[in-house]
Amino acid sequence: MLMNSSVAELMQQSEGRYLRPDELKTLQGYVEGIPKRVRLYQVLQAKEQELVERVMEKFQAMMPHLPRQHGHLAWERCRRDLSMVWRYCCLAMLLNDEDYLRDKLLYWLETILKSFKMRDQCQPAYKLMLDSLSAVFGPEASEAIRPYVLLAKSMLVN
Amino acid sequence: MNDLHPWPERIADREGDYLTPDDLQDLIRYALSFPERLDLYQVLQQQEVAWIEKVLQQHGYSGEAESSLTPAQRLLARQLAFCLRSLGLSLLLGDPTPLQQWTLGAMEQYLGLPQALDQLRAVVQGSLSAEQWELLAPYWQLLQGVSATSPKAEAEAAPEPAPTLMEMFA
Repeated sequence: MLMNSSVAELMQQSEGRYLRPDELKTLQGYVEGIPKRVRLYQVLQAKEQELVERVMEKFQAMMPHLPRQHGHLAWERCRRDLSMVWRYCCLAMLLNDEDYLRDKLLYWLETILKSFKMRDQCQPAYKLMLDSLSAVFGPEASEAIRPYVLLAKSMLVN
Repeated sequence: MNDLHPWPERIADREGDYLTPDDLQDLIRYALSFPERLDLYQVLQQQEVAWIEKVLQQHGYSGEAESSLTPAQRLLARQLAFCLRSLGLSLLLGDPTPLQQWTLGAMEQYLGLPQALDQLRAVVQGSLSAEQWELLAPYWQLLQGVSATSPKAEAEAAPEPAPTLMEMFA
């Protein structure tokens, strides 16, 4: 099973014994949510392109000088980073685990953006991503992914 | 369903990309099978003592009182319980990690554990329905795989030691 950090911890703590009723209930709650999260994950995956295009179109209009400062690959890199952050957000949503997003991507990417002094310039892109969720996805999918995109925005560019 | 392909590996294989449709299907199948897994997990928990007692009887335990267990029987009971609990957790989580990581130590604690596990398997299989056994069987195979690769089992299976010089020239 795809385990989030809480279930992985539960497993490590239960060596040599059976799970207690409260632990079984926690596990059951996590597993029962899986089919819904898989369905939402597929919706979020299917419309990634639409979301990123929408964000990029507005972001390019807001920051036309970016290629002058960061070279002709600036937009391509920006698109690549947005896609990467989005995919990690989706997997974190599937896992129901913000720690996964922090540990596997955000701590690392935060350091990169800080060292290249890109936080201020990237800020509008993540705001646009957040603002576009409702327009691209239905209310259920956008509410499911919003906490993860908010976390990414707060760590990367706030 | 491919329970035995660990998820951390699958995620690492897809680093920065989406999980495959097959992985998502496995996940849904796992979630749908969870009620049966939970039922079976609770059967293991409830029957553990009775099943282990049956194996101990094959090792000379009269079944009169727990205090009459010899130290070796007591150790065997403990290791069998440990294996059964690891097996149950792997089944419940759909993850081979507990079996692979934890039971190797148990194999090293008791030399005759692989044989006792065969006896336990017969007892457990005889107590479960065909559907329940079908769910449990892949994990049992994994457990037996671990016992077959434990250092002691390898030592037992090792070829005859080379003859001494005296034997060679006798």
